[in-house]
Parts: sequence; C-alpha cells; structure tokens
Amino acid sequence: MGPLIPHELLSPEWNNVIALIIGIAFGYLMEASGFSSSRKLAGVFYGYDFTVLRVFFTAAVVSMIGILYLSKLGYLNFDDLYIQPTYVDSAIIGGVIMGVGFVAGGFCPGTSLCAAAIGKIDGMVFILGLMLGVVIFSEMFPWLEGIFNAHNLGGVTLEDTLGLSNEWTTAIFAIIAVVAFYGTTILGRYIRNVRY
Amino acid sequence: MKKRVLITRKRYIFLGFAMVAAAVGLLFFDGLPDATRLQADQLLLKSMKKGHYINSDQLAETIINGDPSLLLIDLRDSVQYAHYSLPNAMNIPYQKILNKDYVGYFDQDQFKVVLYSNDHLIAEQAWLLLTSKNFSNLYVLEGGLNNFFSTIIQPKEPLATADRNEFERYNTRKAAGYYFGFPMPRTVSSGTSSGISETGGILKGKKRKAITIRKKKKKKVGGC
Amino acid sequence: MKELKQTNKIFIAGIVFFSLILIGILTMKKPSLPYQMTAEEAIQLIGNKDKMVSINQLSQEGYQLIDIRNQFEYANGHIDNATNVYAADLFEPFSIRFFKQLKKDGKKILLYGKDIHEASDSWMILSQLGFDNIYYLKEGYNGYQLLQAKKSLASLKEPEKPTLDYANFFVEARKKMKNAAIAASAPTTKKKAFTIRKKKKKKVGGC
Repeated sequence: MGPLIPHELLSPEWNNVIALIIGIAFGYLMEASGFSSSRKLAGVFYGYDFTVLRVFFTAAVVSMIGILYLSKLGYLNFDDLYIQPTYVDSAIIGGVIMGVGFVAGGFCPGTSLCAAAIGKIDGMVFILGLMLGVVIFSEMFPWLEGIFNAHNLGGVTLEDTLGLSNEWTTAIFAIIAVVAFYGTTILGRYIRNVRY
Repeated sequence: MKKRVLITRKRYIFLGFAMVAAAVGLLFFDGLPDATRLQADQLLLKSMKKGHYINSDQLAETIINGDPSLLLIDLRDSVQYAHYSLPNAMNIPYQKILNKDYVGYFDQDQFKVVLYSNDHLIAEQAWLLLTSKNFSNLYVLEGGLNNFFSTIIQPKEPLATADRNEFERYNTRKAAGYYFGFPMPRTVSSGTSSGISETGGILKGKKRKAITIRKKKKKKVGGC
Repeated sequence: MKELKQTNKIFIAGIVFFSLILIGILTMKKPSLPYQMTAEEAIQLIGNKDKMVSINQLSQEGYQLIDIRNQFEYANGHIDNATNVYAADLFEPFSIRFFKQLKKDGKKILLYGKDIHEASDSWMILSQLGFDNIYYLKEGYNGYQLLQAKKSLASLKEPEKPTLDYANFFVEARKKMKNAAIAASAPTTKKKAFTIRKKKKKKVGGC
C-alpha cells in the first residue's frame, strides 16, 4: 500500500500539503517539549536537563517500531522507502560543525525556527547566522565539492553494514532508550537545583 | 502530591515496558509473508483471464504505427537475440528479469511492455512472476516469435472459397511482412531496398531507440 | 499538576500507538497459502525442463494425473485415471486438501491441459506455494489424442524451439525472389494491391 505518494495513492501535489501538516505538528511538539529554550537544549550537553535526549530517542524508537509493524502488516513497502545516502567524510565534518554550533548557539536549525516563531531574539539571530552559513557554503561549494561527495556509500542501513537485522536493531535501541531514560531520571535527582 | 508523583512514575514505567515489549515483539512477529506480492489465487485468476495476451496482428500493427509507448523485450538468450529479433527490441534474458539493472523496465508505468520468446511458454512464466510482484502494463506475445513468423512474415494464403475478411487480413499481413523485411518482389532487382540489409534479420540498420525509464519512486526528503 | 497533565497526554498518545499496533495485528488476514519461495528464487522455475514430463514417460512412473481443463472438456474425453480439478478451482479448500494429501503420500502430481501453456501457469503458481512434487505434461491432452489415434507426435512443436532459422530465412527468401525475378525477366511481375486494414484501435488487456 504505502508509501502513499510513490505508489500514487496520492498525487504528488499532496506533497506540500502533507509536509505542512507534519511541519505544524513537528513545531507544536517541539514547542510543547520546551525546545524553544536554548538553555533547555544545551542542558543535554552540560548535563542538567535531558529532555532533548528523551524526546529524540522516543521519536526514533517510536518511528522504528511503527515502520517495522506497518511493513510487516503489509501497509508499507519497506523497499520503496527512500534512504538518504551516506557520505562518510561530509557526515563526520558536518556532524562536528553541527555539534559545535548546537552547543554554542543553543539551537539546532529546527528549534531555532521554533524559537523565532514565539519571538525569541536569540532564535532570530541564530537563523541569520544559519542563512549566512548557507551563503558561505554555497559560495565555497566548488572548493568543497571534493569533500562533499567523498566516500559515498549509497543508501546503506545498519542491516547492510553490521549485518544486524532491522528487528534486532529496533529491540536493542528500545532497550537502550529505556535504560537511558531511567538513568537520566536518576541523574536528574542529583542535579535538580540547577537554575535555568 | 506524593500520590501524583507515584501515578506519574507508574505510567512512565508502563510506557517504557510497552515500548520494549513492542520492539522485542517484532523479533517474534513474522507478519505477512512478502506482503508486496500478489496473492496466489488472485494471480491465477488474472492469468486465466488472458487479458495480457497480445496477438501477432495487433503487435505488428502497433510496431508499424510506431507507437512510442511500446517496449519490446526479448527474453531469449543473447545469442538468439543477436541472430534475430524484432525491431527495437531489448534483450533481457529471462534469468535476469529481476536483476537490479533490469527490473526498472518492468516496474514502471510509462511503457506498454510486450514480453516474448520463441514460444510463449517462457514469456508467460516470466509474466506470471513479474505480475506476482505487482508490476503492471505487461503483455505477452501470444505464440511468440514462431507464431509471429508464421502469421506475419509467412502468412498462409487463404483458400479461394474463404470470405473477404480472410483475404483482407492476408493482404494486411503480407504488407506487414514487407515492413518486417520480407523482400518485396518489385524492389529486389534494383538492388537497394529501404533499410533492409542483405544479410541480417529484420531492419538491422534501424537504430535502437534509447530508452530511459523514469523511476517510479524515490524522492528526496530532508532531515531535521 | 502540570507534570501530571503532560504525563496524561503522553500516556494517551502511547496507548493509542500501541493499540493501533494491536488492532493491526488482530485484523491481519494471513493468506491461507503463502508463497514458499521469493520471486528471485522462482526464476529458476521458468522454462525448467526437469518438471516437464513427456507423454512417453507417462506410464513409467506413478503419476497422479490432474486434468485442469474445465468439466465440459474433461467429460468430453480425458487421459485414463485422471482427476478433474478445473484451474479456477485450484484454490478451493477441497482441492488444496487433495494436493496436500498427495504430497503427504509422497505422490507425484502431473498437471495437464489441452497443451503445455494451459498447465504451465497453474504449475508455476503451485510450485511457488511449496508443492515441489508437481510436474506438467509437455504435449498436453492434444498429444494424448494423437497418441491414441496412433499418429506421430511430430506435428506438435517442442516448446521454446525456434521453428525456423530466422536469420537465414530472409537471405534465402531474397535469393529465391531474385532468381524468380530473373527467370521472369523483370517487368511482368504481378502487381498486387494491398489494402491496409483501417487502424482499428483495439484495446488490449485491462483489469
């Protein structure tokens, strides 16, 4: 049955409509989790607030479980899902830059928009920086192209690289998630009185 | 206050356990066996309807009219293909129909794909397999090349007592036969005839059209 | 209070998620006969000569003959000892039970139709369902009729064998035509008028 648009159960024009609906839901949930506060976001790096970890971990595990059940129940064709290709070099370099930016700026791109939407000035400044980065990157792209395209592994998954089946990955992930949630709850008891 | 905290904690514990249970359950849950394939009984019904057969006359007509949405696929091995095939046909030996490089020719919706082999046994079985994977727009040349030859290239002259339609069909087939390279009586002596080489099979000189298959799926989506 | 409210939301969302999964599992309709091999594995069935039985081998091994033509054709004449299971009824519970029983008894099943093509689809589908004891008759009932009439089987074509040497055919035809043209010394060749049939857009297929 699914994915809906590639299988033409919905016409491609619905793409933007669905994106809008999902985007609104995404923004709402980020705001509801308090992700428009850069202090809360940075908390996961300094070790006084683990909401980020919980939210993203839950999202990952829920979608893993959901997709696998959908495909097993015949509602989704697993092979037709788009898997983002892995570029090793740019993934590492980009990951480092993103991490530094996250700690320093207190936002990731999505949450900065969230913060700007409720009128936070730091969020708007962050977006300006983001745009600046985009412009610089595109201007320098001819020089960076070699690194950008290096070591393309294609759309690999853990199943291809580690030989771990999707079910096992999900089970291990879920257990790690629950352990992490419990661990951070215990940790949180000792650092309750950090003010932010 | 304490009670509330207790309820909160209980619920979190429940959710945590449910999540792990659901994830571990995946390991033991087999699900539908290859849910992407058409069920056997429906497949049999589809094959019994015979809607996927295209006969030689229809095919000859489509080829001559130059239908751009027609894609001929020769399922025989490459030796036989090199020896002789239909104009503009592509060679995909039947052992390779599900190879990554070739499956795109079947899993698409822009062409009307006609499968053929010498007979229609292999083509039919290949059709069955491809249809069981829910590919559509696939047809089988009834009787295969053998039948195509005996009807189009070498049509039998109808008896003198046959009705007019028979004769008309015979003439149409004869004309089609010339298109496919059967030598025309009046052009032979002049030596050069239109696009037909002396040695080869049908219209060898004609260039095979380049076919680009639009991938049906896969669109880029951004991340967070 | 605020935390409890939030917990409530998460709790409800979680319950909805898990109950959706449960409903999905409970409403799942498992096919009674799933494919036992993947499509990739089934490729080796295509044109497989091992599973084709020639009519001359019929008496040698104890095949259970199954006539997959319809009841009318069966009543009109059939191979001795054949049982009639019309192809459209192959998935009825009684025929599946019958096939399973035969497989359990270790018997070989031989399907036949009027020719090889009629039996091949049913054979291919059943083979994919895990019946590895199924064969199909190469000559079909037509061959059997010829045999009964003591005629030679030569008029039946070997499946998938080219009837002509196609490449040479054109060269030969050309030569023949040339010779004929020379013999008739050119211009008197009969001119035939060809009427091209009007393009009738015939719809092929559907469904």
